[in-house]
Amino acid sequence: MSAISPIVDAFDFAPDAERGRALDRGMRSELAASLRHLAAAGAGAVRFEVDAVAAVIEALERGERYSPFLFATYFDLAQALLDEDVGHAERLFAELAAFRPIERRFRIEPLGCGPSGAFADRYAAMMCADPSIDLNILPPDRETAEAFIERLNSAVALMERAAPSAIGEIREIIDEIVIVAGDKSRKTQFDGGSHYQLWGALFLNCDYHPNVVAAAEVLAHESGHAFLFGCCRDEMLVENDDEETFASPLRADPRPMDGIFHATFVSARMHWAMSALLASGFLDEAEAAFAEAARAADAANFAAGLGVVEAKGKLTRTGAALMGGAKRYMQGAGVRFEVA
Amino acid sequence: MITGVVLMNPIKLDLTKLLGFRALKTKDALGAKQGAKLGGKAGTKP
Repeated sequence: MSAISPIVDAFDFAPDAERGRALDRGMRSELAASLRHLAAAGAGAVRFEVDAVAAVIEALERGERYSPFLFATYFDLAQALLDEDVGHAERLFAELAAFRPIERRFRIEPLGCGPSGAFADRYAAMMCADPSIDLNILPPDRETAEAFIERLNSAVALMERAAPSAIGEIREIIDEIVIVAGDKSRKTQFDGGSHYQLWGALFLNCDYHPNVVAAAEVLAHESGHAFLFGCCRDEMLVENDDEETFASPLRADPRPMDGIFHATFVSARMHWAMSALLASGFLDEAEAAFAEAARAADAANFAAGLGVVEAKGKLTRTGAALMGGAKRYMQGAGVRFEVA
Repeated sequence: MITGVVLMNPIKLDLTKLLGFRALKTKDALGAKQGAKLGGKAGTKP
């Protein structure tokens, strides 16, 4: 039986900034250790600037932070070395050595702007890599992006008052919120996205989320995916075959069980966030009505997703611990669903 | 085929020491297997 993180083993569903910090520290220290292993394995077989790569690793170990694209570069480099593609590995070591630390955290930047602006095309390529989904991610127009950033900043301020543990956890695991637009000519549109190989980044579609409560909900949604990524350092959430797909509570297209698990878990996260906002007394009448409706949808989506997960999911210990926590929270919140 | 470089030493990687590979125990990276997570209330257009 494989070891799982103590964070997962003693999982309590409520967001927690300290736990977020521990997850983030774990991902970054694992990145440093993994890069050290790649540098050692590549030495003598691949040409690279040893001191420059070591400087990046040492800075990571000191706690300095880089663009989320450093994680993507690591994954590409590991794959190149596993494939013994020396030329590609040399290019990636050179890219790695060129990364510089970024001090400003919790940045909100349109795609193509800010310290990760140079990686915009590769961010979009990674988020649109599934050939079965007709989708594109574009830089937003300035006016739409500015209006959304204003809503998002208001949502963050609201959560600081009404859901401090949630925004505290989000601030610990998210360094960069990338504001994007969808390509309206494509079949698939999206609210937002995240990627295991881009730890620290969230992508939010500024064409949606028309008010402050909706912006808070999508933050809770997308950061919920990131939270799950951080829990998957040692094992996956599920052992189901990716070829096997199921109806998703949150997407129109059938998804593998890993996607159903994610959608179900983040529905509970959104329910938690909406409940916290409603309980705070800081919402006006229209905002409260929006949050009530969103919370009801979150509850229905959770129940639908949980039914699929419990009927067909082959959960790992990590997956069982996390979904167990979500289920206990939803039961405690009075959400009704069939108990397996 | 390798061009421009003579491979002096074999590249030996231990998957258990690699973030994102240990969880799968294969040469597939976790992010590649899981894919991007796209929040999808917007979903597929009718």
